[in-house]
Parts: sequence; C-alpha cells; structure tokens
Amino acid sequence: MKSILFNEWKNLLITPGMQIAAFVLMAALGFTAWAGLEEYRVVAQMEGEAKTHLRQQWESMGPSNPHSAAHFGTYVFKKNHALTAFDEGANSYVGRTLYLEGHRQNELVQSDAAQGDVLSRFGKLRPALILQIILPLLLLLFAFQSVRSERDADRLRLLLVQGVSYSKLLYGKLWSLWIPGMGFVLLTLGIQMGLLGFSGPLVSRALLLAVGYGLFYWIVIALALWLSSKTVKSYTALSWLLGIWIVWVIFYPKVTYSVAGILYPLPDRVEFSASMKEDRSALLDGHNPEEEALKVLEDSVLHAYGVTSKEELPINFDGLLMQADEEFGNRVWDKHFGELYDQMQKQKSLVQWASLPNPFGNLQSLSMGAAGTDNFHQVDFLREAEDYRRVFIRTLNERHAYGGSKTGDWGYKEDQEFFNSIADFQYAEPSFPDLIRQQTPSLILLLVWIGLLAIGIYRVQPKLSAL
Amino acid sequence: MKLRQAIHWEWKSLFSSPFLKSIIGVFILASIYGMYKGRQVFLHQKEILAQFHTESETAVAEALQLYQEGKLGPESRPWVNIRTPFYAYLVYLQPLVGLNPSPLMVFSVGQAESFPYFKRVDIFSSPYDHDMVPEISNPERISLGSLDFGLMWIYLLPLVLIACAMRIGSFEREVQLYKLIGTLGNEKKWKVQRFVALAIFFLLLLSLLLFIGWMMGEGQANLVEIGTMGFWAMLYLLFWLVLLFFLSELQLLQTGQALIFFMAWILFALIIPGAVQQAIALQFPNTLSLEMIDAKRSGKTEIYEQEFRITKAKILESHPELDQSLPDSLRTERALEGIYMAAYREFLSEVTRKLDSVQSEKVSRARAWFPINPVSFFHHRLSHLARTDYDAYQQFKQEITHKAEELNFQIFSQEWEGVVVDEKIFLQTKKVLNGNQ
Repeated sequence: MKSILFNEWKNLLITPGMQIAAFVLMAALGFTAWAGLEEYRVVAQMEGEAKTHLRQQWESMGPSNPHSAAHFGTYVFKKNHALTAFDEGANSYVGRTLYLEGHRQNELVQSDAAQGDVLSRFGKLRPALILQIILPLLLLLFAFQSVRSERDADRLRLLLVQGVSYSKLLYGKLWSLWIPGMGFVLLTLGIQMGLLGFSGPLVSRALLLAVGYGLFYWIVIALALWLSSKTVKSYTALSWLLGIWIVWVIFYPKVTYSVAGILYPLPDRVEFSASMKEDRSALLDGHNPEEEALKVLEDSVLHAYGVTSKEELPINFDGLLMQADEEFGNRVWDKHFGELYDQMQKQKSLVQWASLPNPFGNLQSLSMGAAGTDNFHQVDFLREAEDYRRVFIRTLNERHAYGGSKTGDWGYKEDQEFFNSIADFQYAEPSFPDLIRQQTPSLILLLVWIGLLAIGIYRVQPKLSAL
Repeated sequence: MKLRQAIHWEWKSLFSSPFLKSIIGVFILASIYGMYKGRQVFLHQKEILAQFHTESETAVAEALQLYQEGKLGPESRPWVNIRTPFYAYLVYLQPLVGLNPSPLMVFSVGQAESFPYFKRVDIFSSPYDHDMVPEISNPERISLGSLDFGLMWIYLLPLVLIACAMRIGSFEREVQLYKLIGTLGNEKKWKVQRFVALAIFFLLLLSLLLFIGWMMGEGQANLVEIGTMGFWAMLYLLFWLVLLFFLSELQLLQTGQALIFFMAWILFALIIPGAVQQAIALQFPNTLSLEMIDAKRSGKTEIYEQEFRITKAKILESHPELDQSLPDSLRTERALEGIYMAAYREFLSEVTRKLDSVQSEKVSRARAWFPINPVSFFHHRLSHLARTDYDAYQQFKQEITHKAEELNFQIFSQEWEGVVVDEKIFLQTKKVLNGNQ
C-alpha cells in the first residue's frame, strides 16, 4: 500500500501543470480563508458598535412610561457565526436587523441580497465553494485519469500478473488522492482556526466539517475509481463522471428543494399575516377595551384585590391588560410561526433524506450546519430573540402595573435606573449535540455511500481487454 | 465537407450518444420547469398586487359612500373624521406601492424572491422599515438559487456545451485520426463547422424555449422584449462557443480538453463572480440601516424638540405655494403639528437617500467588474430585462419614498390651508396620490 501511495504521488507530481495547480489551489484557499474572516470581522465589529450605540440610546432615554419604552423597543442584529468565514450558507439571504417591540413579533429585514446585485449564484468565493465544488471535480478527474492511464499504458496487466490485488491498487489510488484533498481542507480550517483562536465549540464544529468533507472526498474518489474500472470506453466513464458531477452540484439540490416546497408548502406573506390578524382579533386586544375577555380579566383582578372598580385598585390595571394582550398575542405567534418553522424543518428533513442519490447535498447541509449558516441556526436565533422580546416586554408591562401608578395614569414614568436594569439580548448558538442531531441524516447517508462504494471497490474487476 | 453535411453529422452524433441525449433532455426539461417556476412567481406577485389594489378600491368606495351619505366617518371608528385630510387620506387613501412583475419574469426570477414587492405607505414610511420583508421562503432554498430559466441558460448551458464539445478534435487526436482529417480537407474548417452545427442546434432550442416562455407569460411580453431577451441569450451562447473553440485549439486529448473546458466554466461561473461578490462585500458590508433606526428614534425626538418658529420658516420656505398670511392662532393644532411632521418626513427622505446612495455605489462598483465577469454580466442582462434585478427594486424603493412624501404633503398642505374634504377633493387627491393606478 505504501509503495502504491508513493508511486501515485510521484505520478501526480510529474503530471504537467500539477504543481502550479496545487499552488494556485493553496493560494486561493489561503486567500478565501483570509477574505472570509476579514468580512466576518468587519461585520462583527459593525454589529458590536451598532449594539453599543443602541444600548446607549436605551440607557439615555430618560424617565419614560414603560409602555412607551415597549414601543421604543430594541433592535437586535443577527450575529454571524465565526465559521461563516468558511461557508456562508444562507446568510446572504436572511435579514440582519430585527426590531423587538410590544404587540408583535417582527421579522429580520435588510438582507445582503436586498442591498445590491447578487453576482454569483453560488455565493461568495469562500473556502466552502472551492472545497465543495472545485476540488471534488479535480479529484474526480484525477481518479479517472489514474485508472485509465494505468489501463491504457497496459501497466495494469503487468501489475495483476505480478499478483497485486486490484482492489488494493484502487484503495492505494483512493488514499493517494484523499490525503492531499484532506490536506487542503485541514490547511484551510487550520488557517481560520489560527486566526480566530482555538476554542472548544469552534474546534468541534471544525472537526465536524473535516469529517464531512473527508467522507465526501472519499465518496467522490471511490466513485470515480469504480466507474472508471467498470466502463469499457474512456469517453463513457468520463461522460458518466461529469454528468454525475453536474447533476449533483447544479441540478439535484435545486430539484430537491423545489419538490420539498411542493410537498410542504409555505404560506405566502399576505395569507400568513391575514391568518395571524384574524386569530389575533378573535382574542384580547389590549388597545380595544370592548372585548369580552377584558371583562373576564378585569373581574378576576377586581375580585383578587377585593375592590369594585379599576380606579380603586392599588395597581395599574393597564399594565396587566397589556401583558394579557401580549400573552394572547404570543399564543398566536407561537401557532403561526411555529407551524412555519415546522414546515421549514420538514422541507429540510426531506431534502436531507432525498439526498441519498446526491452526497453533495448532504455535504452542503453538513457544511452549512457546522458553519452555523443554515436555516436551523436562523430559526434558533429568531426563537431566542423572540424569547428575549417576551421577557423584555413582560418586564416593562409588569413595571407599568406594579410600579406604583394607578389605572389610567399614562403619564406615569419610570426612572432611567429601571430601564438600565433590563439586560441586553445575548445570543447563544445551539449546542454541539443539537447540531449533530440536526445533521444525523446527512452523516448517515454519507456513511451509506461509503459502505456501498467500499464493497464496490472491493469487488470491481478491471476491463482489461478494452481501450 | 459542406456545412450542411457537417451539421447533419454533428447532430447525428449528438443524438446517437446516450449521455448527450440525456444531458440535453435534462436541460430542456429543466429549462421548461424553470420557466414554469418563473411563471408561478410572476402570477403570484401579480395576484397579490391585484388583491391589494382591490382592497384600495374598496376603501375608496367606502369613503365615497360616507361622503355621499353626508357622514363624518364610519360608525365603528367614531374618532375618524373624513372631512379632515389627516383621517380621510391616512385611512382611505394610503397608497399601495408594488414592484409590478414583468411577464419576462418567466425567464429570470433573479433576485425577485429576495426583495419585498409591496408596501402600504403611510406618511413616515421608508424602504428601510421593518415591514419590508420579502415573500416567505426557506432561506436555504433561496441561497441555492431558484431553478429558473436564467440559471439554466447561464450556468447549465455552458456545461451542456462542454459535454457536447469536449470530444471535438480531442477524440480524433486520441485515436490518431486528426492527420487523416487534415489530409482529406482543412481540419480547422472542419472544426469550425462542428461548432457552427452546435450553435445552430442551440439557437433553434433557444427559439423554442423563448416561444414556450412567451406562452407561459400569458403572451403579455411584446416581440421587442422577447427579441431582446433572445439577443442576450444568443450572445451568451456565442460567447461560450467561441471560448470553447479557442480552448480546443490547445490540441489536448479527451481528458485534458474536458478538464480545461471545466476549468473555464469554474473560472467564469464560480471564481470570478464569487471573488467579485466577496470583494464588494468587504468594501460595502451590510449597512444594518442603523442611520434609519437613529432617524426614527433620536432623529425624530430632535426634530420635534426644535423651535417651532425656525422649523416653520424652513418648511414654508421649501413650500412657497402655501399660505403664509394667517397667524398661527387661526390654524388648527393638526396644521401646526404638520410643520414638525413635514420636517420629520424631509429628514426621513434625506436619510433614505443617503442609505440608497451607499447601496447604489455598491452596485456600480460591482458592475464595474462586468468586463472581466461576463457570466454575471449576461445574468444581469436577463434579470434586468425581467425586472428582477436591483435596479427594479431601487425604483420600487424610490416610489415608496415618493408616495410617502406625496401623502404627507397632501395631508399637511390641506390641513395647513384648512381644507374640509368633500367627495370632489377626495377624488382629486386620490388622483394625485395614485397617478394612473
């Protein structure tokens, strides 16, 4: 095996242009690793400054009515994961700014895609683009060339006569390409980790990336070796391999999402807003004191305090009303946004499992997931932000109710100290086990491919008679 | 060999190869499916905008009925007084701004799914409001790109051409037939003829696809629009065929030729567009619209805290057509507040223009790379014609600002002049606000 490996590497190195190609690839990966990180840093710095600036505004608001403060609200910015520098995933297409206020759950706005032309349908030139699309194509072609040149020069017959096992030869070729392929992945991750600083969560995600790319490269090389061995004509093998690459990379991922969209349709925005509005109006509306639910709430509060009118209450009933309105609203948001997120998750699961014929789809999912740039992370951010909004608004409403004012006193103001005591939003990314759970189908399917191809390579026999 | 013979043999070779037959078949089916997806987006956006238009008309009809019945407002909302410009226009004449889809969207969905495409405008609206959200979609699907005709023609067509052309010359070289071809005739002419045969085949295919797309767009696109779309698509086809022809002159064998063709695709379709996109993102990171957040918070407070006399002087200076004879004591409270509202509106428009100019600069810089970024250039031509590029969105954003300014001005000026709104004034204002809508 060792001699096969060294021989293959020697052959690779003497292939015309190979050293230049390897150098160009390394330089491109180095550059994209740096550029991705640089953008991440610039954006992170801007977000940090914006966050500080908005917090300063909040802390210098002066004495205000708590409910007015709920309308003043706060803004949170979707924080990029550091590994967005490796794989940008869906980040360009999701908004960055989220307005958190009373009465409603807003959505992220101002995506990168809405701020200019999208020039590349495959995203920015990040390491993932090179490692997912370009490098596998090269590995595919080199694996093909390796088998065909052996056969065309009739060296293969000689090797077999000397007792070399064909499967051993193929495995030798496989590892000889897989090792440099992985070298590029590890080099890129190494550069990014080095510049970002090693930390537990980052290293675990980087390891997941390395595993994913490692499995995929193994599949690509093994498939190329198997197909090149199985087919009689060079052109047929080459056509098959290039056809597979086109279908995997360009066609299949888009088709699976289109099918997922048909099987698990998402509501349109107008329909979504209308159904939320309808459900909302069926419940308590804090600004419309004519509803029956108000009466029930009012009676229960009056009874609890043993008084007969809101004016006699030692608290501000308006604050309780606003909070009750929030909680009714939250039930509506939970139902509709919950259904929306569930539907998106169903789409994702379908796409993952439907990627059985397309390991590229599994790699793409795994890469986006590990880099924290997939929809799973997006939804996780939105959920955490919404949880924060609810605590934020409840704090304000409760202060409005129990802060010392009486019902109807809309001129009541809280001092700045109270507002300063409300903590800012801090986002914590999903845990690694959650990430692994989300990516389990992708990992399983990649392993299924490995198993099938391992058997295929073990059993394949070369077509010696043909050119 | 005559051209007719060359075409005959080349086409025969295309249809005798199971691989080429499959890949061309997949390309045609995917293109038709892509146009069908484009049609769905087109019809959906058209339907939503029509729905909003109907809602607007219903609101107008409701207002007109109130005027005709001599009522002050609807019974369900006793605080609404339709004789005042503020309520009459804000409740019943809120303009709807829509990014009207072009029937050419069938050919290129472009960025249409990343942009919001409708907005109900009020006096303080801006294109940076938090309701400016695009249609609901799975961001992962959007990031993979819509399976539209534009994607097929710009990204998949070159790969189909590569598959068809990767044997031209290289196979003959590999099986030592090239010299024989040279002996029998001019080998360069023979190769040119084969590329011409491919060009004719794909031009016919393009014509067929354009016709199907035109039908899917309900025949709404005119001949010039379809012709222009076809012209750019044809130029793109020729660009790739010429490029592949020159690359085939490198005299490589089959694998080498396939590799070099694919490298060209990777360079033009992945590396250059991706690198430009990355460079632009580094130069112009997401603005986060912080200026607009500030404008709506501290900016608003600052304006409302300005001295009335100075603010009024500034506003009346920019609107000399407004009456300046009456003392403030004879004007309504809303008319006086209108001074601050007008000042705030002007401020919002200024901030909007500032944010827009940054984004326009970003777009110009990105497009400055087009001479070395042909794939993005052609892709942009298709989306531009289909009104699914940033230019169409920018127009939509400008329209939002313009309508908000107009609505604010109508309310402010009429409140200032003490206008009592009746049916006639209401309809006149509707005409001003909605134009021909």
